[in-house]
Amino acid sequence: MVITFIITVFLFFVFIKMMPDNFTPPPLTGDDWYEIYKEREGWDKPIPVQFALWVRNIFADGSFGFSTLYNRDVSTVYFSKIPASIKINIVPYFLSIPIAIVLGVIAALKKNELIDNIISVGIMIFISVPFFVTAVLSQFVFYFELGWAPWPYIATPSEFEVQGFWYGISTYILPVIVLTIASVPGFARRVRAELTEQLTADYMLLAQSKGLTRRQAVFRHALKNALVPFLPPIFIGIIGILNGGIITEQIFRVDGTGRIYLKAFNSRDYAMLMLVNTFGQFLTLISAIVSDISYTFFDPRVRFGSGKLS
Amino acid sequence: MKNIDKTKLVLVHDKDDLIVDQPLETKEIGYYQDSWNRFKKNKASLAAFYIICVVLFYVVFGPLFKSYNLPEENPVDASRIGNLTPRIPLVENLGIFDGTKTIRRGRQFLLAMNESEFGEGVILEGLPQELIDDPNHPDYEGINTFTVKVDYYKYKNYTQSVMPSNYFATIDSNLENDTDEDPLGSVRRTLTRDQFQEYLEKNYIIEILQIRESANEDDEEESYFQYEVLVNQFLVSLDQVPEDTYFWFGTMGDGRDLFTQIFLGARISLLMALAVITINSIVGVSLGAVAGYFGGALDLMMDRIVEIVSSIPLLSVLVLLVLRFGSKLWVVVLAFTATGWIVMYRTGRMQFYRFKNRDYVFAARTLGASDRRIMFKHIFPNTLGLIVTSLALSIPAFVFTEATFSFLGIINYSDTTSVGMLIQQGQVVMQQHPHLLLFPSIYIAILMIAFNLFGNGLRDAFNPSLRGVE
Repeated sequence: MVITFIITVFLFFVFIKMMPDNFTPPPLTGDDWYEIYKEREGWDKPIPVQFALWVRNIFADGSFGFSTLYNRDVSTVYFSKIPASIKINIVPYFLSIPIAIVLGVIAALKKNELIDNIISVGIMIFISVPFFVTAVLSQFVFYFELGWAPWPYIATPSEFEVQGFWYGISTYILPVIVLTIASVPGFARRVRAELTEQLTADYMLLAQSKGLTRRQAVFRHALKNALVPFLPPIFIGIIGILNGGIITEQIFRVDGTGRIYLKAFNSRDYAMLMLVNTFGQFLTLISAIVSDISYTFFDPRVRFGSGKLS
Repeated sequence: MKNIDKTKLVLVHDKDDLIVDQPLETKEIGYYQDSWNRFKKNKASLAAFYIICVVLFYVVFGPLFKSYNLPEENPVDASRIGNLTPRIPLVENLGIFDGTKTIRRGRQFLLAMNESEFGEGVILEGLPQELIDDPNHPDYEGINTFTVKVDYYKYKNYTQSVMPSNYFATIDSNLENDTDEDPLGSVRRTLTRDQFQEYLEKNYIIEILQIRESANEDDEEESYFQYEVLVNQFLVSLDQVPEDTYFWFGTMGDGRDLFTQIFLGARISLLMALAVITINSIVGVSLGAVAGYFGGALDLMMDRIVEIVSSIPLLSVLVLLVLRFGSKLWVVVLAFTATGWIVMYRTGRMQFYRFKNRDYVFAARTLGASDRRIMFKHIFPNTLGLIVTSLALSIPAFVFTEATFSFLGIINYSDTTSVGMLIQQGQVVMQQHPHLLLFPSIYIAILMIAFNLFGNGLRDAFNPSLRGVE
């Protein structure tokens, strides 16, 4: 996994270095950062050497390169935007998990009844309709048509000061609801599928023949087994929150990491793109490791499956 | 073995042995026939299938319905009829899509429009009758704006032909600031003599404001004439009056027909989806087949490559390629295939790996079938159901992702349009012109739901283990 991470980052690096307009000094920079960084990152040397220098700079000075967009070191800009992304993502994340589990369990227990059909249709619709359509339409309906939301975008820090704290919080309601609604269906559908499978398993029959009621059997046996596969992803999702979401941040004007990505893309800020991609890969790597390890905690079958007990 | 003398072959039976066997009386149902039968039972999927057929019909023929290329020929005249609201023949009688719009305008302007001969029938409701009878009616003193429902086509024609909606505001600000701005500025057209003659013949001209004469240096007998006139904009642009004009989904800010644009965008994205899934499935399945069937070192090597490629996010690939080569169609296709073949590779590898040790493959090999024959003739048909299903599900996945990225502006075609771009443009003006946002959104929502239902139905239908469960 670590090797994969290094190779992919190196591939990004090579590709970015091969951009034709990578080395042109932007006009009107004012200071001599171009010379400094040329010296420091070895822009006149071969690409593998540049890569080595780039890695060395990260560990030596914590420097990921110079942002032509912000005229500062990219890492200071990028990491300062992470809190905003977390702020918008964390509440929907923790709201959506219980809702999804409850909906999935209800749908699985009442399979093929009216309530299951309603939930399934809702899941189907919200999975199919692209998230950005849901978000934009919600802005349109709740701000422009109904006037329930105070403002279609989230409040900036200065608006927090001018208009008051409660106004600022109230602008968060709409995006939080939209994000929650968007992340529930996929999860709920998997819970439903998993629990449906567990309910038809033989041990359920055994449990009921031992004299447990269906309710007891479901809650003590099936639910436990059905939810095990979802625990590691829940922890991994917390890591994913750091990465923000481009669509959310673009639509609701969150000043977070996702918008930085788009800005860097639009103004061809290569050092920033390199950092964003590397950071994304890094988070993927961490989640992979965490998920591998956490399975041994949550799923006894993985622990005992190593052959030591059998 | 092939050259055995046929005469040496002897029949084991006696010739008069009776073979007791009866032909099967049931009808033979093949795998695909059976799949189709089960697919038909799934009502939602069947409905989705019909919806997809309708959408495909419009994708192919929709842009031909309206031969309208004014925006290309004359962008100025086209933008003057921009942002029209949707209006569909027959449906308009039901009260929806009737080209009306509720707007808020100044009192003076509304009254002037109501009284003008040209503005007749523009205001449908909202302007109090007392005020029309008596412009100085005491009940409405101090109310300067009214919210009225107008026939937006006629309204647009009025503001583009006779009087711009800021006519009185301009006059007021002229008085206040002592400036000399022309209140009729945006509707005043200056014509040459030839144009004037042509427009006069076609009866486009409403009013002649001024005729200017300037000396011709070459020929003193004949001097130049400039005609400042008011023209009927709909007649100039479309050669028809507002009453006869129907834009089904309305027009965009620059006068393009939204209906045509949606289906042009849909056509592009579906064609690209077709290209992407074709490349993905050919590359992925053949690599997966080879890796899964032969295994060994090749399989291990492919495993490592796949691990690296699959860890690269699509977004990164797309961003880098677009920055390098620009937003061209082939760049987008390349970006989607660069990592997209992995899914098909895994499907293909899994199936070939699973089937290569089955008895029927051994039987075939014992009979002397070559590797190629086993792969194509024996294993491949077994994988086909799974491949078709994942193809049916990857079309909506592609359309979904492409729309998202073009909405974000990462994909930004210069010479063509896409539904994501339409939604992005609609989002900017959603307060003033909601139809520009609603129609593309509804289109993509319906298409996505239909494709997913269809794909799920297909998946169930091709899965023989579900047979008889429903």
